[in-house]
Amino acid sequence: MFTYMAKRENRNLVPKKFRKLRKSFLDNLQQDNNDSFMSFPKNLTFYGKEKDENVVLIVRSHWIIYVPYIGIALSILLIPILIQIVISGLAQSTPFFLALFLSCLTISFSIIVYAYVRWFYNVNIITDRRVIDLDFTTVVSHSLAEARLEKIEDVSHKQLGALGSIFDVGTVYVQTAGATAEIEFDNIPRPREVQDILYDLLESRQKGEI
Amino acid sequence: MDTNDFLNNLGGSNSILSFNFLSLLKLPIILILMGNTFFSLLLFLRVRILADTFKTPQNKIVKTIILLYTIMVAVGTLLSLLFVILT
Repeated sequence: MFTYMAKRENRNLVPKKFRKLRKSFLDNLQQDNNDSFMSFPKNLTFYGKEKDENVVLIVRSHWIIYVPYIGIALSILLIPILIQIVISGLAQSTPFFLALFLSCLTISFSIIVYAYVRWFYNVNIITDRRVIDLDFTTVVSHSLAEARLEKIEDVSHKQLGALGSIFDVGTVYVQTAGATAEIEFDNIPRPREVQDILYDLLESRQKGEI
Repeated sequence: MDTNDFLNNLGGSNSILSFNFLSLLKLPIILILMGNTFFSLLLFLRVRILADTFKTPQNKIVKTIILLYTIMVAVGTLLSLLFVILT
């Protein structure tokens, strides 16, 4: 399900104003595009997007982060069997077993759908003017943080653990001027390249090339 | 009371214990089902808000998935409640 829509987007249509730039990030952008790392997505907008603003990159968390959700969902499906083993009377009560099984099935399905929606809407957007971090934290809350490229002071990334090494997953930290909270791109694929893209965009912005 | 009667009574007490366990499990199941239904409704509403914040052609697919999921949870909950009542 996480990669189902990967080929639907018409990607890599580099806008005119970027074609004249001689920056390494353009080469990085066009390699290995998927739903977690998509350059120049077509027909993508967001709340407050300016008319001539171009979306350069959208990055989502790596799918490996959501594997535990699938594990938990599958474990919940085993609960009716375990309860049947523990309580002998349950074997004689088919309606109760069915009720328990259906309950566990709907809960498992809820967990998988929740993981998918979290993955889809935990999105980081890099445009030629700003960076946006949309976080779907819980089912009752979400947050949207953004910073203009001019306000960015420092970009760094951190790669931790075995998963980070195996799947090239890491967190990119965008430090902005003033009291604004730091923007974090959590557990994204190819963090080093995202950092490079942001630095090149900052440089081009400062020179007035974009 | 001879030994056979004593052993038969032991069997009887086991069935009472099982019946109590089933009755005890009914309430948590009903509460979990209600909670799950409420969760699905909240998720449905949250997706509607997020789809307005982040607009992409894929939103239609996500909205369809969420709608189907909400219907499935509602049907599943009703059936589960029916089975719990029948027990």
